[in-house]
Amino acid sequence: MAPTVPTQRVSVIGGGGNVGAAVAYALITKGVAAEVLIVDVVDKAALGQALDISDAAFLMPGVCRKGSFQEAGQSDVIIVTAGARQQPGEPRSNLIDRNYKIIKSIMDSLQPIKPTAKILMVSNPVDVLTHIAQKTSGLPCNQVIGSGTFLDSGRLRNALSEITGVAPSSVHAYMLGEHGDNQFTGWSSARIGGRPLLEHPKMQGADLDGINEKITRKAYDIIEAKGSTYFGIGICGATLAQALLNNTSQVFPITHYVEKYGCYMSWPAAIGSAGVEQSFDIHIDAAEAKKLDVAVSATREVCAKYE
Amino acid sequence: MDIMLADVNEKLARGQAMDLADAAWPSSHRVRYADIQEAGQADLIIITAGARQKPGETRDDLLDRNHAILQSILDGLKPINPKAVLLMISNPVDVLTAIAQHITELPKCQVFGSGTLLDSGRLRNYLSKLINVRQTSIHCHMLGEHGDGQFVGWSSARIGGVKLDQFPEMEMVDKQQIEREIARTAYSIIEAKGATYYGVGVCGAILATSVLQNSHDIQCVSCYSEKWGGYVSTPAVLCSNGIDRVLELDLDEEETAKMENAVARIKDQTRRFIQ
Repeated sequence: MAPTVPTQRVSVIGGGGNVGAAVAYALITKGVAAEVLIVDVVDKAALGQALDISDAAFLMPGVCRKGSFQEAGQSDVIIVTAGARQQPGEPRSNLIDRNYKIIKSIMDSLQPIKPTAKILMVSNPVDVLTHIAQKTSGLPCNQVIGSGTFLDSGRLRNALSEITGVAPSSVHAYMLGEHGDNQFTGWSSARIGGRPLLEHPKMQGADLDGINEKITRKAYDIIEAKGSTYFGIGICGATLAQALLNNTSQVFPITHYVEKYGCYMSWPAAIGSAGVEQSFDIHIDAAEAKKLDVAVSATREVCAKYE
Repeated sequence: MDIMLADVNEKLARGQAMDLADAAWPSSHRVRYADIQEAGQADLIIITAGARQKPGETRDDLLDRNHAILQSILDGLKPINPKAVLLMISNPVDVLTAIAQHITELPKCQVFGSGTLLDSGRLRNYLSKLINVRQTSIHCHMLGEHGDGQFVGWSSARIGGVKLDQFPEMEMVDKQQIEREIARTAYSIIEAKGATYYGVGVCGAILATSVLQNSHDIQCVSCYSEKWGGYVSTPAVLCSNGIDRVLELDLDEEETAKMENAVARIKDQTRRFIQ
């Protein structure tokens, strides 16, 4: 019998690792794609993860299997979780150099890439690596995005949900800028039920800087308690892939090329099967503009090396 | 939905809860750490705690270590919500399910285990590839004692109402070889990635969904069978009270003997811990 070709394929490059496998698991349990490929330079790890996830195939729609780089290049969405981990004492510029080589090698192995494919970068530093992925893949800017501050915005919404008593999905607040130490909360644009968040009775006297810091530290807290983080980012990756595959036009705070600032940064964008459809120039006040300036300058400085 | 995570390792449980909360917010579910006393008040209590199966270790070797852990957990849960459904996942699952029911004294229908659900699934995955039919349309169960004592109920297997053996693809098939391969799947995964959890994770979630939504669907689980007089893995109808009814399959002579052996083995191992 001739093998049938699925219409929706998502590949996870780096799927042998904890983050990649969590993304693949989320894709399967959310029923996002017809086929999920686990691709990794470590063959045994990729096989193990694919076997474990596909064990539940009888209960879930979609197929999960180990795949090759060539097959991954023919995906509708290519999620990259592979990357170098910072060694103790390693300067950031060195880490980024190592990651450049890895990303370039991945993009070369994926060629020829399906012209309509979207790349979703998850590896850190995500904003810089999204830029590198676009440069080395040859895909148009709007088809290369990064998870950016989407997860951080979710953590922010969880924190604000606890304070205000409103469901996280109804608290419209974003973490913005450069995912990492330079990220900042868009307090001035935050809303609940159409009203400014800062006017909510439970937000009076809240330690805004404290909340911001707590969110930025969340990853470290989780790593300290359980060794690494992957469930949160797993769902984030799957949610973004779902929007791309199903052409939902949902708005997320993600890494994409923002014309106004001339660089890849975490900013709200509507995404669908064309990739980025619209970018939203969210309102920021003077204090937030200062923080954005720091984030943009930092990213542009690093990206200039990799044009 | 409110999900509580309890563990003897509080730091680890809090870390997992934080990571899961990061995943739960888009669907507005809540995940948090809870101490074991509070866990005892839940509508559904799932037990996965236990010593991990080492590469090459048989499930039976785990029993001694896991019984002590289970006793400690059940003591900690007291006073347990009398309406709680208890779902056992730790291995050896059939034995631990029987012990848990005995210790908690919850009605037998409220205590069941994941049993051979995953193994049945692996069997259906295999047949799905062979016959090119979706797993949900293949009715074929792995029965008995989850582990080395499990066996396929070939005689009652059907696809779309047609007996499995009538499919041409089954002509060249070595049934014993299939059973051996499926039994080895867990070991293959452990060898490749160190542990298995995603597959069984989905199984646990599906069983939880069946209970919480009172779905009355049929899954192969470890449950108390009146016919066999003990806990064993066989298909059952799931509901909000746990097990609504246990299905007693028509087994041929060979399968009946295997089932009797499985039930006897489970009782033997349980007897060691129940006075």
